[in-house]
Amino acid sequence: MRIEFERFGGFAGMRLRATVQTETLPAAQAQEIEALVVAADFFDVPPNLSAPQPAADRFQYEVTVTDGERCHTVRADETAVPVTLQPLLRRLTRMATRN
Amino acid sequence: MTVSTAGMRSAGMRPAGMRPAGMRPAYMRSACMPQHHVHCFIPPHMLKEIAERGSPAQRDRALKTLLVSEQLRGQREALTGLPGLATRALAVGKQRNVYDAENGSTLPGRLVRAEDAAATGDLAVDEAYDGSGATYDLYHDVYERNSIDNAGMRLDSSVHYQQGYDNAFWDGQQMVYGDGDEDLPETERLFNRFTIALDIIAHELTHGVTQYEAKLAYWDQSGALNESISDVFGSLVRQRALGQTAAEADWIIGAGLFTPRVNGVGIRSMKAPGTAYDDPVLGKDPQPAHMRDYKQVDYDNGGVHINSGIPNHAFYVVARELGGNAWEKAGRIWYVALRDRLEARSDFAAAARITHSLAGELFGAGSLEQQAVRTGWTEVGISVEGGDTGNGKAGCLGAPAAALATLLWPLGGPRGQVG
Repeated sequence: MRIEFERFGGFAGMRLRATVQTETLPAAQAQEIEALVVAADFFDVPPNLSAPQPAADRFQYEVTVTDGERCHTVRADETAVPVTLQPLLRRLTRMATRN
Repeated sequence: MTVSTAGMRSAGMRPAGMRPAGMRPAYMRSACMPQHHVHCFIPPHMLKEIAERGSPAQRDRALKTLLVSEQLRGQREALTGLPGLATRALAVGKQRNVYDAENGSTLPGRLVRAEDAAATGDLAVDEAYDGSGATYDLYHDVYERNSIDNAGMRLDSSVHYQQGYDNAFWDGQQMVYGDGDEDLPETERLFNRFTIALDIIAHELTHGVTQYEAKLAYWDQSGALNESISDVFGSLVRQRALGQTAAEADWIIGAGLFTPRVNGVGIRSMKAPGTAYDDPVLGKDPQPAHMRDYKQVDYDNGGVHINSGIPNHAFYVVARELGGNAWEKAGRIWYVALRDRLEARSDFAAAARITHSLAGELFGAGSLEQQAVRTGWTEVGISVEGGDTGNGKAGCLGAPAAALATLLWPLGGPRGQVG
């Protein structure tokens, strides 16, 4: 499974990015992340989760998961992120590098 | 102003392939564009029920939501008789509550310090309390504004929001602060708590003022102006608290937010945009200081935290030219522009024209103040005589586009921002 993650915005306006190839991770870590993708029901999350209006200094996320034949991209405003997707975003944020 | 006028003004004819200037850009996706803002999810009649019959906390929340509801703007008299409203309207002086979100996401959290209560010893709590007070003081003492809504609104802040939350924001009703990288080992931390810098606190509160006044749309040039207004008054609150003149101030936004591991003095520099940080991990401050370096990007709502460097620097130059305390003259011109003249989709050229015109009205045509405003905008490559470009996009007002804008936003446009 391959995951591309980006976070934009926030007060500081800095970009965060991560590219995760689970096959290259230690087995426990790979399992943890794949479980978060499953728990988020990621491939059924709507591709655009927009807040009714963009909110000042909040984050925006863009996540693409490729798993075999399946590929899905989700763009989400922080205020519109479903509870089930939050743990995955939090995990990816901590794996990301800035710039 | 009537917002429908703003919508029409900024909707322009455009080259093929470009969206109407007033439309929400494609990078924010249009699926939810015409929806009402979040406060409308609970209808006003239900809020009134809650305001009358709910628990004290529910009543307070419902009242706040009613008060910020765009549909009820200008109709506050319709709310008279609701419990709690009289005390709110009659509130004298600062009213502050600080809550502890206890590392969760539920707002506001547990009340830990109310107005006139003693310091708690929790740095974030006490900084949020003192910082919102200093912000209230600038607006009140210098610009005669009674809180965010100019109607004595209580200033609510929640600290310790979530874990490892590198951010602060105004959510439309209150301020919210994360603790930075508190969840990481100390050797890996880049961000301190977000209450550490007074200008961050004032920046967030000013998003609230903008929400009640110009309602600047949070994308492209109007979004960058929105961000810049927050940086301007953020910096002015700090300068006034420190007793610094324009020449003495560092004009840094977010000084102290970085840990010593970061090579940087803060998040943004109004004096020298693009120089605040240059770090192996964080990269380099991307802010331009001149229109020739304006960055068209498809993230951050069109680079609102990037291109704010341009109007930020214009304000700095005005203050530098005038000398003395920046909040007295330059700040007054910007404040009156925010309160009376800027509109939801004002762009940089509109801000230049408006502040130049206001400087003439407030200080006299051809005055040193008006000359300074011209110099400020000229230094960043913007004419004070330019016409609107419709939120930063070339075009002129055309009837079809104006009609489209009216159709899309029958109430006069999407909220400028909910903070």
